[in-house]
Amino acid sequence: MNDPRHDTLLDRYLNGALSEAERQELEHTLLANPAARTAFWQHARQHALLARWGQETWGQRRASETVQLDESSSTASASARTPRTAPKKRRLRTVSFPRWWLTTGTLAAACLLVVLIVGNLARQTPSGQLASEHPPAVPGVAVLAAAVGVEWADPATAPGAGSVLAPGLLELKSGAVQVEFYSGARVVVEGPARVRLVSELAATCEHGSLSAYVPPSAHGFSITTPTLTVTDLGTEFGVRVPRSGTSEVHVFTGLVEVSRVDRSLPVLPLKAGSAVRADATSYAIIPVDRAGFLSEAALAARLQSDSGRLLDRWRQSASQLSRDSATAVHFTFEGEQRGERRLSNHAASAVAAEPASVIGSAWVDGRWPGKGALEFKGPGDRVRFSLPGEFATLTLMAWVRLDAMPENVSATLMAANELVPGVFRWTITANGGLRLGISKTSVVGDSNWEAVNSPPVITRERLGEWVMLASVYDGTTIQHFFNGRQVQSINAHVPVPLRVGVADLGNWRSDGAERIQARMDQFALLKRAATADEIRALYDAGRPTGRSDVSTP
Amino acid sequence: MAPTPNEQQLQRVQQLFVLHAAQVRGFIVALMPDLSQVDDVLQETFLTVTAKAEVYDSSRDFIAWACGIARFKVMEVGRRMTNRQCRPLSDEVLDALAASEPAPTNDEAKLQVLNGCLEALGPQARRIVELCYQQAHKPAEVAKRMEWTADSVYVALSRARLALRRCIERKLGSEGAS
Repeated sequence: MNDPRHDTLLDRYLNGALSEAERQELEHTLLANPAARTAFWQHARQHALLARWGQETWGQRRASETVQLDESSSTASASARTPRTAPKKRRLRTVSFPRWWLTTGTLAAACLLVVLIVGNLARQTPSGQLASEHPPAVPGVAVLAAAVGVEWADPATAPGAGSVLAPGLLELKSGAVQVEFYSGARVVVEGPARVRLVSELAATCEHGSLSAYVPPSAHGFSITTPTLTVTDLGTEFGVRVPRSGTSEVHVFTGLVEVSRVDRSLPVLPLKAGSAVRADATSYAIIPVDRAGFLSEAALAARLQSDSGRLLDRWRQSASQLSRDSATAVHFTFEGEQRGERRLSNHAASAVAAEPASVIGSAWVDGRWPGKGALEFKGPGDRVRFSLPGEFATLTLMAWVRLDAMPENVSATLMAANELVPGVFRWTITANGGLRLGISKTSVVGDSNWEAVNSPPVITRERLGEWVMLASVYDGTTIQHFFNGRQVQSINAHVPVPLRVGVADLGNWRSDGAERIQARMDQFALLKRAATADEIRALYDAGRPTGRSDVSTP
Repeated sequence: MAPTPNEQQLQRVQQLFVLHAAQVRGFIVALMPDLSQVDDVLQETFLTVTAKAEVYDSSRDFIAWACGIARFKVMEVGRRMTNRQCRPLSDEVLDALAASEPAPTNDEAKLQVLNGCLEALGPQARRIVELCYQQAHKPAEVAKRMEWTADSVYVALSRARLALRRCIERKLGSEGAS
């Protein structure tokens, strides 16, 4: 539609300049003429594009500006060490904020999310249009990068280091964790703390102490406390929320914006070296307290000393297991050079045994830095070993870090190569359960296996996390254990003695169809049934992270 | 860390909203040209989307669903506005416009070429665009600030929008035209 009069009316509409008569004329034309509506969208979309440009570029420009608090008031109160009322509206308005930034909404929930939305505007993907049809199956927003001496409030749902974190609550009674958000932001949380992950650009802190490291890719990352929202503009900052009391924000480098959840005060820009506490109706300027927050470096140091301590504890337990007379196979993946293709069986009863062969697998780090492990990845990767003899009862134990769910029906932890009565296959089922199947006859077919599955224990969230799997056959039942906890116990009877012969770890058939994609850094086979307490003790001694006795550096 | 199905649905819908906030906001801006009201409408839309998360059918286009809610919020907020000049068009017209909205265009590509196009504007026109769109001032306020008449700001702004639109179309070729 090429109608200069209609174009003029559309422009006046977008400029907020329509008279009553012009409005009636425009509305009449829009209702009557489809081409007029097409022209409307052309004009309106250009207007919306400019509005989006304005919003995004304003945010970027603002981030690069240095906005200063009133220096004299800051220094005065810092030296007096007495909190004082923050500058009132007028002074803070020296920075020009568009009105849309200080929206008048009063609903706290909306405020949090609008910050989140504003933070996300610059991060739209060009293909964002399609995303609504395929919501992600596992909406992870972060990875638990490290955990030191953590005591979780709910041990049953506790994530391990390396696991993917979906939006939800992280509650620590003690210890510290590092969370790496997909946006690139990293947060060290020191317990006791209750922190809720909202998205890759946002978290809330109900109480506790945290420090955030935010690279340019994560500008707009926000932490919301019961009273404040801290929005990052490229910086390092700390947030402290006492169980009762008021939130504090400390800025170590860069610049953040502090806003009240109730929107009772304008947005406060806060630069490096400053800190505020949110009092009931104002901000109190307080001295910045870098040492009061656990830094990434201090966490890494804690992790290292913790790792050394945990590795020592595990070595003691492992050497005890090696000396157990019932232990027939014990791969500790220790003592081998990286690149070594022979793997020693550390079981004392197997001193004369041939070492196992490493095929395909590469040496990698295990549960702790410096602890060896093998990675099963390619279709040929496996460890081949042999164990002669027959036995009546059995315990299998392995520490593994699964990197993918089973591709086909199952992923092999251990499987005998020959199909004769008494051999067994220890696998992870497609749904993440643990399975032990013992062959009763040499005829191929599932009905000839005495097999027990556990409920799913490996979920997608557990991928990347070190876990201990164990299964026990005592002659009358098959039991399964996950991280030291019994998850299945079902009557099972095999009328023939158990045997292994030649077997593989991590793979089974020549086509690799039932291989595992995982790291393994310990495997043991005992010719007796371990008790639940023994399994629990093995888990406690081998946990990759644990309660730390190390005090804060 | 194990959310209930309802919480999962709520999280999914909120994530979709955040993911598509720019598109929803663009839709609101088209129907509510007063930029100072847009964030209120977006907030209210978000709250309603959250409240209705359970009834969202994931086989439906999320943006269309959220924009449907946004349209009603524009009408509601419009009824509360005291400045008659800035209020949105009538409900009937908004319904007709929403029904005839063309397919979305690639805003990301347009934003990439927009900066170059802005450089080509005269300094006064660029200043007006910045004041209106970056600082969210109404054109009438810009006129006061620049000591221009309101009409001359209207004209300059209209010309700038047209020049930018043509420049973007030229740079992106005909497929960028809408």
